Amino acid sequence: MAYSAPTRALYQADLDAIRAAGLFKEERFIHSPQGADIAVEFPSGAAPRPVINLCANNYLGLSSHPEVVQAAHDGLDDRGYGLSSVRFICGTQDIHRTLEERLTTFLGTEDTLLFPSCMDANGGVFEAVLGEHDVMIADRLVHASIVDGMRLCKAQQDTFKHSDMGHLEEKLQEHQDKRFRLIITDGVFSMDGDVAKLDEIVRLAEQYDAMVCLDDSHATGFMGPTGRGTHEMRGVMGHIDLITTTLGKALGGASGGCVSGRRELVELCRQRARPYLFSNTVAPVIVAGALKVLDLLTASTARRDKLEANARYWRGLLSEAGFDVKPGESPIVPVMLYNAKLAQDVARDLFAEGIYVVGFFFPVVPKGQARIRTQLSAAHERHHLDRAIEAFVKVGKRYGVLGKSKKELVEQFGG
Amino acid sequence: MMTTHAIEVPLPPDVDPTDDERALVDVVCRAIFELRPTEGEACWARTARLMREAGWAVHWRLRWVAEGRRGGHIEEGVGATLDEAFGRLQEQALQDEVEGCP
Repeated sequence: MAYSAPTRALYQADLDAIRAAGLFKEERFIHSPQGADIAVEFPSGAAPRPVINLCANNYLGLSSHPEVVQAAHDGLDDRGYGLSSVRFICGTQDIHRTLEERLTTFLGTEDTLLFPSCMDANGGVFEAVLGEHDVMIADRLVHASIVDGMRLCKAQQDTFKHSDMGHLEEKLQEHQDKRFRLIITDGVFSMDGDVAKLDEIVRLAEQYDAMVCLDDSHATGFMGPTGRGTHEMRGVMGHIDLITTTLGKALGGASGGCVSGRRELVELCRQRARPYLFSNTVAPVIVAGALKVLDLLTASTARRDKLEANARYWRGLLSEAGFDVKPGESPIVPVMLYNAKLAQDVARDLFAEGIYVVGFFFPVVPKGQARIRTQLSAAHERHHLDRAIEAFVKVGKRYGVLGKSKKELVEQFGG
Repeated sequence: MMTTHAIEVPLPPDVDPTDDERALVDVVCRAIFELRPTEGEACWARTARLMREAGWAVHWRLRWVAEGRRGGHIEEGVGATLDEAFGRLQEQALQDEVEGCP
């Protein structure tokens, strides 16, 4: 079929509908390396302007760290730019094996397999290890990539209410007739920044003979006393059967992900997971950079300690200023505004004040739960956060949101 | 031009079938039609035979399909009973209740 005028018009109508719904995503062009201070061109064609970045997943500030960049250069020189192959044909270098071994040690598991991204890891892992006689029971707020991976798997799909252990127990009882039960959760939930009750999940898993799969993408490298992740934080290292995580956030922020866990499960992914089998290997330059990241993280906890202190400081600043902040222990700090238009307006005005944040609203978060998601980084210094709170207070006063409860905000602006 | 045959089933005057009951009659009639004897090998039977020859164990059964639509979002649940089909539909819909943050 030719790409006729009516065809074009139908697609354009789809795009118009997305825009009319306020869901059109526009890229903002960054003219600098990733960091606490970046130069952003927005709207497109405008002169780049300096802003403080409070919306990156650059939790440990390693995205542009000089030692990581140098290691990436060295990897480029030593092992080349690309491998022009999937892993199992001629796309596995010794450094891929080394990185998998280092991740296994870091996460406290038995084996690890790299994927082009954690999106791919989540897309491939369930189909590789479960079949039609099994069931997946996922928290209702897991990442979209887990939802996609579950849809690709022939096992029965079920969900439990977010972090509701009573509901999870009911589901585990209901599915005792299945061959395998797999509980699936995020470690840190990206929308609210709350941490999974992994200790309770593991206890239920042992009681009801289930396995546990944890997506720790928003935790690996900094949650827990030595940054191993939420399983370290909750005291259940060695009890999680599958961990999926990313190199694209705290661990340098380039790309790449992995499945780590029980030896047999990881080996099944190596044999069956389609995103691993049918997409290119992780580029050597990224592998070399990630190895340096692990060197830095195992040598010192200074960066995760600083991130923790920054998150605590920022939560305190927002709360003292009178913002409605979701409580939590992670560097994801949502500022609740509840109204979608208000969230967009506040984010726009903050950008004008030199603070880069993003407003999230339905369908990204539940209806009536619109917010500004702020994300802290070890790259932030106190002066960044002090400057940011000045702007938040200025804009907050402009809209009259300071010191207001949820009820008052909803009454004033609508939910 | 295709000829359409209709079967009329007179109902007692006090019977007013619901939409669900009408749909059920429609589905049952179609199922009977699918299974009627035909001359030679039916298309589906040929497919089943070829797959068996290729090593597949092939079975078939009738299932309920529950479908939910909201705008361009479509979810489907399939089950041996209506409860099972709608249960699956609900699972699918709940999974995507929110799109989630990247």
